[in-house]
Amino acid sequence: MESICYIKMKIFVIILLSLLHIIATKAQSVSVVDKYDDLLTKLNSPDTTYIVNYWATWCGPCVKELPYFYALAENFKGSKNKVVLVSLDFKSQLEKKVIPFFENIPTKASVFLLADKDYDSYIGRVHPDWEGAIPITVVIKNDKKLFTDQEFENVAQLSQFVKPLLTF
Amino acid sequence: MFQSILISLFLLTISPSTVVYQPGDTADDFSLKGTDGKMHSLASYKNAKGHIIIFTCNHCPFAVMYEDRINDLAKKYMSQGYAVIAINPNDPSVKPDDSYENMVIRAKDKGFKFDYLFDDGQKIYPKFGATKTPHAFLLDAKRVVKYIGAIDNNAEDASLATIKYLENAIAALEAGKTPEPAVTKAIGCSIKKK
Repeated sequence: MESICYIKMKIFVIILLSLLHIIATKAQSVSVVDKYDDLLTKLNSPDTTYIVNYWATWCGPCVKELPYFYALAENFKGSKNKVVLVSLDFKSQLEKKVIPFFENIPTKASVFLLADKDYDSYIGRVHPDWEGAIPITVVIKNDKKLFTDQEFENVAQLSQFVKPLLTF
Repeated sequence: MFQSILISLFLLTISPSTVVYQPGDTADDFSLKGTDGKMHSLASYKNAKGHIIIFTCNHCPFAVMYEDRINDLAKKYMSQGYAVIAINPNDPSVKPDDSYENMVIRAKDKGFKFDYLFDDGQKIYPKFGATKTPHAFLLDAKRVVKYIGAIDNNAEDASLATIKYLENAIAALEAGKTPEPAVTKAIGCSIKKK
């Protein structure tokens, strides 16, 4: 009787661990979006603030400021403020570069790879002031937008920048 | 009167950062050192039918992906009477890969057919309004800006590019027409400055 109970418990623990593993893996998943319009459909919940950072694994200044975005995502977990990291790496680099990049970074931010190559069509739609250099950060809430092409030097600077459009 | 003084004062304050070349503007000449050790100005390309100027650098993966394409442009258009000029706008104290010495090495290793100039002191790129590498500009014989933007629409694979913006602009210039589009946007590396 006891041993059956023990086995049951063991199974339960295994299931629990694998579930946790799935959740952990899921948190680091990278969703590929082929078109900018597809990305927009992920950023359109009303009364939600999206803090969207455009970056790439090959971009030094981008990688340098990412930890501030992880910190923000951690601070905002469970809130209506979502941190979204949009990688502009090529789709061919998804397995080789982008997924391994997050191997030891269990971030709460959502990670997308925007594979849209028609830059000239979408760059101006992300924000009219964007010329195409990365990193950039766009804060979106309903029809309001904040844009910067400045790199953040610490999390306080980033928090200050996103503040006007935060949802509480 | 007072108001117009205020307005001109305001314009003076914003002009250094916001007034950059647009299609139709005449670019100022410059004199920059090339990897050949010589100084190059636009006037030094005598009787050029036009000037193909590309801000690029050693370190940026997007710029590197276009190196062979810039070399191909040089092979194709220099024989037709165009000047093909690359300019590195980055501050090497921020990005040591982009030092003059490393430019010399890069130009030699890759067998650049075009002049590769160094914007020492970063005086030239802000006038052009270059914001990234690579960033292309097409000027006609009289240094009038005709096109600003991307070389083509596929950074990763030249053979998959379906629109060759820069070459189309050159073709328009040859035909005496205005390039359409005259401005395009593309992904690139930010220009490194302190």
